[in-house]
Amino acid sequence: MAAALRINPERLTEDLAGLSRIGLHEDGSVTRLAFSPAELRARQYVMHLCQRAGISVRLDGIGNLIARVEGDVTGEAAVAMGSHVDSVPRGGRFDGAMGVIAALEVVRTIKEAGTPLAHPLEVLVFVAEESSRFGVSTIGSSAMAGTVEPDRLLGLTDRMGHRLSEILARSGLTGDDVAAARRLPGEVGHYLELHIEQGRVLKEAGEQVGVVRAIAAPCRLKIRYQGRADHSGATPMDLRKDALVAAANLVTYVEEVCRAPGPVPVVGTVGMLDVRPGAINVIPGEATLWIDLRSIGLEARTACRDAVVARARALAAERGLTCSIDTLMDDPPVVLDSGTTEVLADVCATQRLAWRLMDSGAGHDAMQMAAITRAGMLFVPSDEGISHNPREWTSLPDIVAGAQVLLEATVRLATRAGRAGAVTR
Amino acid sequence: MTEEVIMDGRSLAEALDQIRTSIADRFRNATGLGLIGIRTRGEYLARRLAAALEPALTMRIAVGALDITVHRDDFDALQEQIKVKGSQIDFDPGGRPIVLVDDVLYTGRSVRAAIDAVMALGRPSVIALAVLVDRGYRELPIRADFVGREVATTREQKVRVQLEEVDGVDRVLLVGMPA
Repeated sequence: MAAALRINPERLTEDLAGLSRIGLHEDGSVTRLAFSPAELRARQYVMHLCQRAGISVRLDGIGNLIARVEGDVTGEAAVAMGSHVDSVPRGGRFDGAMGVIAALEVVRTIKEAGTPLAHPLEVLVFVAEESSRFGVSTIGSSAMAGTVEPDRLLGLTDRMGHRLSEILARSGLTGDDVAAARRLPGEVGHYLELHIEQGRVLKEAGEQVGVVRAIAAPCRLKIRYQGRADHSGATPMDLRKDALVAAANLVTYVEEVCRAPGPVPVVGTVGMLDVRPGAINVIPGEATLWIDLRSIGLEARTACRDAVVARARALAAERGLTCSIDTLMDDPPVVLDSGTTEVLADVCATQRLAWRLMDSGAGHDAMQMAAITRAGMLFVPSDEGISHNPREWTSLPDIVAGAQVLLEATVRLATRAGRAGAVTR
Repeated sequence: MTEEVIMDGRSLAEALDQIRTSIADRFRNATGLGLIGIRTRGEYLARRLAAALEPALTMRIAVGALDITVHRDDFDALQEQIKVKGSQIDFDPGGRPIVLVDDVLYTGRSVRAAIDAVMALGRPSVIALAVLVDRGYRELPIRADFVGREVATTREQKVRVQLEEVDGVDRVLLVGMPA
């Protein structure tokens, strides 16, 4: 019976197109920064789709959307699916949004078919998955999983100086509400996330679906050098305290240390650099760089971080600068639940798809949810591996294939009564 | 299928002149008036109106062209190629009166998209609407402030505005079965 269920590709496409129109630019990119009006409209849009489908929906204390269909057995843990609708500036239309609409489509399909399920189903739309605004990713799922202290989240500040606590207060949300967003043990039994790969592994192999085993969580450092902003003409080279030159040296060092061969690959990026005062005739008195280090291997990543921090301090000492180092994120890489991964793999095999087991280089909400539930993750191919870009593209047949695996896996997991409950890690 | 010329070059010019006079009356004391035409033909109408308004109002009038593609409520953002001409508005529409200019007012959906597109760029003090032809059948609560000609049509008919700059001739056609 379960095998007969098919998701509705037209409805999925139409709703994803509707979501894509929110925050859309003329080059096909979208900007829906966390807690911006566009992102809020996107959450309202999903809420509206849920309401239309007769699915009860609420927002938790940090703004995560929770849509829920009750199961036939009371007290069973939910099988949840989801992703995010926020984006990077001028990002793609599929990142996060595709997984949200696919999850909703799965729940709608099951609900319409009247398939009896022991477990409740949930669609989760997490706020602030992208780090573009606060320099920290997966904020909403961290709050739900309780992996980060609410006070730490509330104190986050964007580049304009807006604190998350103030932004939430405008929606009437307090620190207590954020604390209450944490789900209790046993509420969510499984979490499944369908996402675009954002790399080119599947595309180059000609495969439709990837079952993710592990997620390489990022370690993020914010390093600020302070020197002296002096006149560029009147200050001889030996009297300068140029913060940018130290930062520039550190940028090349990040590349060097990550390129050095090791047992497990580490990737390192400096994607953001803030130079002040930022005038052509003024020596940079202050330079801030944001460093992102990722690996499946915690030891390898920690070794790189330690090396970068040591070099950052040495550069400051050499040049008579002060240097402050903030660790914005230091989450361990996450190995997803093996039982859930097996179910996803078995569904792929049963559906005779071209698929593979793989790791994720990018962080996802699933890595936070893995702390409180059995989390599994599916990838569908990204054309040319392009993401965070207007040219981000995943073909509709691939989206449908991924959504169909999500549907089948959800039915299997939600049919089994009992043995639900929180996972302790 | 029939084609009836409902406005020739002369009546089109008269209609534009009437719009120009009304805009001049309303915005005589305004500062920084901007005319934004909805692409394609609205852009050319906006340029003509601005050229005629400048001597009448003795002020510089900012003119821009708006591509509403991505703001349309039926726009399929998942089609592989996003074909947009792009807006060309080289002034800040914020804090000044803006007159949107389009050739035909029909359901009102294009105008709604145009309002969204302008608001995405700034916050005008006023947005008004000028159309060459109002053919009725609104689907949204939208009306034009300045209308060249009201034309009675059936749903099945099409109103086609042709302009010298694009089509080589100034006229308005009513296409389809006569009412």
